[in-house]
Amino acid sequence: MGTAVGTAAAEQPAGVFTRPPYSTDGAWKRTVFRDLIVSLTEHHRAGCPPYRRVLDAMRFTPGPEVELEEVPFLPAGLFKRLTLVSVPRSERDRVLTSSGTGGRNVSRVVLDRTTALLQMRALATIVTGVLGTSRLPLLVVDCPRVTEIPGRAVAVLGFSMFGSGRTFALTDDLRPDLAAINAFLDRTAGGPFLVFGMTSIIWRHLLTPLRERGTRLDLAGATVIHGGGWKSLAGVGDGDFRKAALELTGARRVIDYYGMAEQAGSVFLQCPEGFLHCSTFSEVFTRRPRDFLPCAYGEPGILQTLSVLPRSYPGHSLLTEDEGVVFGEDDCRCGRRGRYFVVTRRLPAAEAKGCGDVR
Amino acid sequence: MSGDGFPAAAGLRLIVGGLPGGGLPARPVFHEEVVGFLDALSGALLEGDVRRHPDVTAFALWCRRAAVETWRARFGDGTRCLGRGLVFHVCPANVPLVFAYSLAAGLLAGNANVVRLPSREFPEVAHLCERLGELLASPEHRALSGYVTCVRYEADAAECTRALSDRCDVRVVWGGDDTVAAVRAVPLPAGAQELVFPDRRSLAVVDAGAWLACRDRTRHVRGFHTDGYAAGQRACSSPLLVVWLGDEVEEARASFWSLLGELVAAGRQGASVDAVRGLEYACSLAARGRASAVSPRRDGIGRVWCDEPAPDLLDRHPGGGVFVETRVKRLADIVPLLDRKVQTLSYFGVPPDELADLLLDAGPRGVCRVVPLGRALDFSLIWDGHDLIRALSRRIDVVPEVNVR
Repeated sequence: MGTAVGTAAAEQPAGVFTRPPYSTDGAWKRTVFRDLIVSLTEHHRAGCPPYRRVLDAMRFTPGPEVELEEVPFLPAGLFKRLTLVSVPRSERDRVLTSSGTGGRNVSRVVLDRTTALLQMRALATIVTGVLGTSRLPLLVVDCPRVTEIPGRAVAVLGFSMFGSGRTFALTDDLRPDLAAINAFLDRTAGGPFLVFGMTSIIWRHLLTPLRERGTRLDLAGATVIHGGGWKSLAGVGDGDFRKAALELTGARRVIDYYGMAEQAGSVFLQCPEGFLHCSTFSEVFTRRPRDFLPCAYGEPGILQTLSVLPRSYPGHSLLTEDEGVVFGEDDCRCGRRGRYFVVTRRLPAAEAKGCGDVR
Repeated sequence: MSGDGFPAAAGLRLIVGGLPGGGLPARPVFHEEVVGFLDALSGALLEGDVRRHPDVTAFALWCRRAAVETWRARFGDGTRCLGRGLVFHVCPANVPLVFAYSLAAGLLAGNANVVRLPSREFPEVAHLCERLGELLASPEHRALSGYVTCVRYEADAAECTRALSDRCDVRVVWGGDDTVAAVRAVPLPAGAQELVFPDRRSLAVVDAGAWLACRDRTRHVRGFHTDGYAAGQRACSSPLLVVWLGDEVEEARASFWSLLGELVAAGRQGASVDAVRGLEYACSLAARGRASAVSPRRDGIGRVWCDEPAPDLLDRHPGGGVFVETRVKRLADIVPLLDRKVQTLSYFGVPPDELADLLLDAGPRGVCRVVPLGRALDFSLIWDGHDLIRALSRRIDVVPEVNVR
């Protein structure tokens, strides 16, 4: 352990799938996980010339002595400017896109079959670790044509793996489809089921209309998983969301997730204590804006996320566009191992620039 | 809302003064009433805590009588020069106090002024507007009533821009390029002039040998810190690129950036967004093979070294404390960098006359200011190559009768 640097490790992240998703501690992260990340860095350095040029410009050479927090991170926004790929054209399978902030610039992430498969398996490992392995009936809070909307489609299709008999809760013009919802609830007959949607879609197109109409739904049997939409919901916090969900639908088990198209699969799920957790597949650091040095626990900073999954593009260590706070490692009261954190805010868009230069 | 003949425009809010009626006389340039008013404004602004808004204090010092007198001397012969009438100023949000300098120039040139304040609200703008309003209401400055109006309206309210443009004799538009394009789409009366200040960017030239020989490096670094950080590196005269000259470049760089780092580190932490956008910019240059060395962030400074500099390197520069560096063998090698977007050239250890001669000789499209390190953000009545007082006034050519005997 600790010296297995080379492409072998990059090709064999399979070991991480044999462990429960929240079973690995800090010592494991700093050895086995570190080795996986360092060898991924070498893999991308060899396969992606633009990435190699960035590492060279930063004077970074991967090696066994490198600590996890020393591995360089690319800003996630770079995938909006450049298409970065580490595998030959023949192995490229498809391109994931995400709208990103404001939707003007789109991230382009190139997947090969291996990476796509790793992402699916990781997501399955993380989600079944929380939900169990039996497939529950799935209510997607979105419209049927969501599968054609880039960004949203990725998340909905990914989570659809965990449900059976998928039902869409909204009509194509994004209004609650009460007939479809009630038919779904009749079928579940009081048993447990899964509700999935983007945070902003659930808030705007389900909870808000319910409140306006004075209608309630009975989703008490649901596990609600939502994420990915806070940036367009300024002023609505996790607490507001939970309160509204409880009042209007009776849902008590509400789980936020944090993830991004640039690191699909290795999502961070919220624990019952309200913290997002790193899994076996991921690690998180917060960085100070002054020098990018790691923050102390409790200190807000820019979130850096690491993932052992990306093989076809150099996205295994990214500086996100979010600020957050890491509170600790291995000692969350929920019992899960690994680091736990919250996302506090999305970085604002670039400031106005222009001429007019006086003081 | 409508004054004498001023068409009402929905969404136009008066912040200082009323909309000027027609028929206000133009004044001679540097008129005593104006100089006295600006001096009184300076006094009022310096009464409070001068550290609270350093940019307001800088403006107050700039518009004192003594300072204005030096501008008058630089202007030269002002005989029979008077204002054009009404100047409409469209002011930017990147540097909040541009409006004050633009207004002062309009007044000194002898005009009535309508200033469109940036739509974002800044405390320093509010502070200055309050003092302006108080002074204009006082009996001593009654003569200037009607000459100073500040308004605010939403950026997309073309109707307001149209109403104000219809009546003005000169329109002054401070960029960015998008603002200039949007305002230019609104027609002006045939007889009106327009003065535009589009996006520009700036660079510094530092002679490495002179830097290492300098005994007062701290003072000069403080000046560069002001240039680069006082407006978040978002003013168009803030240096984005540092060009090193000479042989001992590595040693000089080490000294320069470590001294600057001490100053930046002593200040605020810096915004996350600046750090992230700076890294994005640096990585995108490195990934494309345009930068050979990147120092992502140290002491609040991001640095990008480019062996083969070109003007387009600065195209997507985000501001916020990221410096592109390069070296040239001879001073003349900077010329290819001076495209039409370059505004200010700050210098250290290079004789400014030599720079001026080089510009006159090589004739690049860019550069209209050459200033020592630390003076990049100083507002001058010669801006972007325009003599503002001349551009905002007219000279009456009086031809004497030929004496035929």
